[in-house]
Amino acid sequence: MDKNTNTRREFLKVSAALAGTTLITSVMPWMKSFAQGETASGMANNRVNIAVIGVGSRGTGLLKNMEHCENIKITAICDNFQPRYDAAVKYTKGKIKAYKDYRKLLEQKDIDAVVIATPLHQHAHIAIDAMKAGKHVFCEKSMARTPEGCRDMVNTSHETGKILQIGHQRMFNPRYLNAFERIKRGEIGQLTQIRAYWHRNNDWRRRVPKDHPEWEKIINWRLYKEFSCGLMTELASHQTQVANWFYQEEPTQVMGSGSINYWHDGREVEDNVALVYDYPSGNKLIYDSMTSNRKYGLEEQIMGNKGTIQPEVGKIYMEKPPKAPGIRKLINEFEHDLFDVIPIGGASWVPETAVKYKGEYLIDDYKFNDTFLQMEGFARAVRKDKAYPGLLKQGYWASITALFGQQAMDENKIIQIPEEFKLKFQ
Amino acid sequence: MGTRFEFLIPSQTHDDVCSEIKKIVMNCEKLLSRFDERSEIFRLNNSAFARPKHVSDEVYDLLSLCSSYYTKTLTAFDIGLAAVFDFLKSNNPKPEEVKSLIDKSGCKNIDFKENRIKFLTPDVKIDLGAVGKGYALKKVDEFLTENNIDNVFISFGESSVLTRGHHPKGDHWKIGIRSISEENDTSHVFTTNNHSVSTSSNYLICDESNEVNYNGHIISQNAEFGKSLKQVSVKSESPIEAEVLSTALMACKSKDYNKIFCNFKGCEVIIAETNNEGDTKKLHLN
Repeated sequence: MDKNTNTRREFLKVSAALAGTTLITSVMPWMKSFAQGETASGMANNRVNIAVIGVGSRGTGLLKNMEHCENIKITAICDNFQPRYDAAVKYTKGKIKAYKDYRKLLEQKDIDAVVIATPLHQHAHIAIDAMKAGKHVFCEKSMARTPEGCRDMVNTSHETGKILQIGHQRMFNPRYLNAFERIKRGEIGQLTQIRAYWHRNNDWRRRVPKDHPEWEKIINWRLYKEFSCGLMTELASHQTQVANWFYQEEPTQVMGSGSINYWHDGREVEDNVALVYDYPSGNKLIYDSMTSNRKYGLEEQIMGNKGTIQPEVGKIYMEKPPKAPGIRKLINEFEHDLFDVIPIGGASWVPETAVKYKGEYLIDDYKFNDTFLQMEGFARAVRKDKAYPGLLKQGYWASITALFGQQAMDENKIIQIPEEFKLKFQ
Repeated sequence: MGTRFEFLIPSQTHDDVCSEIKKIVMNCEKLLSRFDERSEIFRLNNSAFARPKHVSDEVYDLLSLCSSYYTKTLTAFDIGLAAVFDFLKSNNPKPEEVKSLIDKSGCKNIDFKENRIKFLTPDVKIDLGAVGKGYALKKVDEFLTENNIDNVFISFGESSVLTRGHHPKGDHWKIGIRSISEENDTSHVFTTNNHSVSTSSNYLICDESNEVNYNGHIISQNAEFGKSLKQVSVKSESPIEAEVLSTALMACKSKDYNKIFCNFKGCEVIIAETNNEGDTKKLHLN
């Protein structure tokens, strides 16, 4: 059995369990339809033709994942940057139709859907053109460079009836799904605050050939505001999605501050950001990101009055730590020359101060590939000509949350999320 | 077996003992798991309906033993209901469908003959979850006997315990069963030497109609199951019997407690039941 089969099986196990719970499916409607899995052999008979627009590092990564999806046939590729185009043609051994102009690609009749993995500023117009050309769209996060771009993409999806799915793979990650289920069950009590961060220690640059300095902005588009909002759209949007999803609400306002205080190399996007989001319930999302220290890495600390979940490391920490297992009590006895009762069974919880409490794992660790799952799921949605309910809203609000955070930093003021961006979703 | 295995051997510091015990437990897992494609049980579940399937002596002996317990427990202990567990977990089961599936599965539909197993219907699937820990403890116990290791405490997920010898500060071990109704209470203390203690309790009821009652690995014959908290704890010299009896007494009707208990020699049983008003009734069988 290959690892992707295992991935599918593990995911279907988790999703089937979740899909049986009314409480969960009412807030994660995409789970119910996604859980109605099919075997790989069944998928092979239901292949959809997918084209990839933008075959840089992420686009190629998606391409490689899709090559393992039984229900996907890669039908065309496209990139308007010659080195990427050449590399993709070489990778596909020239066997797949290649384009430099996505508009030409959209004219190819047998393409059911496109995957967009171009630089951020190109997402909106390509996605809109694709949907108007009758293609379903999978677009990498973030949705668009501007809130208006995000809104127009959603409206086009609604108008054309074409699927628009945004690449937030955490919604397909069994560890996150397990965390969500625990939260809905009330295991960590009432949520009040999420502290999320993404810390790296590198310049975030891709190498530009010395003989082509004019390629700087094409290759390092993430560092320039014309094309990207840097940390907010490329990293934070993953975590704003998690916060909105787990809170089951969207922020009303955001304040923030950002600066370039380490990488003085001509970049325009911040290398150090800190923001506070307010939610209608009074919940807060406290977010920061930097590229000059990686000690704390990447995490979302989801805090309730009874406990904390950290899905990236896959752990749950209860405010009242679990009772020391009988064996630990027994060791304590041995060490202190005591002879007492060894407790077993039951499900009670009391503080245990003698043992350092390191939390509990959310689920057994196993290797799975949530990007693969996401792509396979997208193809199934395309085959059925029906979007997974609720997914687009998640993608939209993840981007809107990140983009208005950027605006708060740019304008150095508290930004209320405008009413015109509070869209209605099907 | 999806649980934590811990053991304590006072004064014993040999790493090779630890690795041997670990090996024994892992082998049991590999032999008995219905989820491991390498296990005989997995292969049985996937092919024993089509034609009789030959199994190793070890697996045949264990399955035969389980079959005898099916009779001794008046059908309350049944290893042939895995398909029912799966159906209950992955669907929105209708009670009549579950009852029909129970009729078509279970030990009554398994044929044993000369190391060959045959399932009489396609709905029979074996799950040894209710006896696997006991079997692993038995194998570890045999290893400890062969190696003259006398004083040991072993915990399998804190629901199955094996003790040998005595606590360093006493002439026995004291195993306390945590109360299911009072957070910090102990409902009973078993005094043990070379014994096993197994405890089961109901923690999850999935069928709102109350016509199907199960807690993950126990399907109850009692329609009242789940309307009150119930905990069964068994002390026995045999880790397998401790597991079997605690499971059977959880699953059976209360009128059968004594009839089943009489078929297990040398066991001590505590059954605690707490109703919705918080009143606890305790039955001690000895």
